[in-house]
Amino acid sequence: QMSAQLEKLEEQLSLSSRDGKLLQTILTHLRNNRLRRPDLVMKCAVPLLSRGWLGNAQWDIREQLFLAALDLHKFDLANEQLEALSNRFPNSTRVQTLTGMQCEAEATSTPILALPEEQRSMKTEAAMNIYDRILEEDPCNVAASKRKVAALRSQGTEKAVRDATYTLNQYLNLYPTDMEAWKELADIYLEAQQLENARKALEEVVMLQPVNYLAHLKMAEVLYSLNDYPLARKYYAQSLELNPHANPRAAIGMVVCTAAMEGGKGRKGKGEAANVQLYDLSRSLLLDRYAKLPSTAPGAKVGNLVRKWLGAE
Amino acid sequence: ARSSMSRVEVNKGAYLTSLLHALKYPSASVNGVLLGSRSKSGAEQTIMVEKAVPLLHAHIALAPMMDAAFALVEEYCKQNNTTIVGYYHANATHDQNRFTGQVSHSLALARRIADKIHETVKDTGGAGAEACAMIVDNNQLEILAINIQNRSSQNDGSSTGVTIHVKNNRDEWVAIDAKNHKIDGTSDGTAQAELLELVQKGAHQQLTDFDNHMDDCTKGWLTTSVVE
Repeated sequence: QMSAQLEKLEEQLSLSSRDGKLLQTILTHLRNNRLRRPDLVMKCAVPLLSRGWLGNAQWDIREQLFLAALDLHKFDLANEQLEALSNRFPNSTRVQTLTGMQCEAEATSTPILALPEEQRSMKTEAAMNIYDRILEEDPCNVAASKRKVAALRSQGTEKAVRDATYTLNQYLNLYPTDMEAWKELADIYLEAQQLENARKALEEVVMLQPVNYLAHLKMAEVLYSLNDYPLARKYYAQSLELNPHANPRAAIGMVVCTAAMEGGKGRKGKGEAANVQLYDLSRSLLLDRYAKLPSTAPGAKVGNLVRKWLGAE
Repeated sequence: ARSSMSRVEVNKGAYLTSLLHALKYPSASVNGVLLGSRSKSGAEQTIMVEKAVPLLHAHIALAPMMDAAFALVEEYCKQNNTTIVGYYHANATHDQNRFTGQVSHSLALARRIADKIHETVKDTGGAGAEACAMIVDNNQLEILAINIQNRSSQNDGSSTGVTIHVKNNRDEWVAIDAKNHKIDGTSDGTAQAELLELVQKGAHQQLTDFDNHMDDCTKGWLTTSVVE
């Protein structure tokens, strides 16, 4: 499991915080898994870069540190990295999008928030201008498109969110197999509580990844939220078929879904045979998951609640 | 109809837990349920928040995990002689923290969830039962963070980083003013200082919510806490 790996690395870090190879390993792990841990990046990147032996490996790390510094509102540190990157890669659209991100981050910094509302938007506008300029010259530029969508999404206003989904839909016309982009679109719709639109986006995800149990699971959850329990149940079943034993979310989802179809009466309802079977199956899978936990695991105690809830005590 | 709105008292653990949850996921919306009890003295009712239970940090709009979490929280309440008294929420977007009036999408969602909890509490809690909502204000939290790091004298407790809401006679959420709510340890800044200590120790990274538990069932939830 990815988080277990990271925990191990963090433990090693607490024991030897100056081990160059370990620092690089952690940074690579965070980059490859796209984990957002600015605290860890600071701990690893700052000492590494100061040693000066990284050569070409430094650029990825500088970009990573830049992003972490923005997250922590350490704008001077971020600017240092941006300048180094600009000098090394002049005329790079990738560096330009980083500059855009700097504007976005500074838009919510304390000095800017202290300004009157009309002036606060200047930073956000500056960011959007950078992305729009790149897209004027290169309408298919992936990074700028995605940055624009992210910037609009994070503004959170109704108009900005509409613009975000519009832009992302345009992008998806160009790149219809970008599964991550469909997922992002679904997430934006979910945040805006447009569940039907989210569902359509997730249908694309399921089509692109038909054997990914997580795609089916997400679809099930959206359908459940739309009160379409029968169809949700189908997707829960698919998810469980693809991953029966390490899929507690689907198991618990199937339990509440079949219970909802019984009108909340659970097992005791008269209900359709398939519903009862699916309830029983998911109930066992869930109980099994807890039964297999070592008794010393902190999560084992939740098993007591689960057993009580499912009448298995 | 009530003639006055309820008072709310939040214990230190619940306050710290909800903020640690928000700090663990600074770029996501997080939410949780508040447990405790209600007490009545004459016409005045006080909601006592004794425990904050972190729930989700992803896909808050999706119902099944909330339903499942609530089923388990209700079991816990039965076993521990406590009850659901409210809901907490921290928004992802930094500068959208309004819970009343015109609100952003995710706070409209938070309001719907808080309404649902309020309705359930009303239905099951007997006469006059109601719920409260504790909303993290990201701007206030940032100011608080700067103050406590500077050990500034402005840390007089007026900045807690959260606003507490209850329902008025017209069934609308309204923010309670300072004299009608109390958050243990915040008036003299000790709770805020403890928050800083906990963050420095990494307590926020160790906090587990229902999402974490469902991703990895060995992780504790509900029965464990990173705050004493």
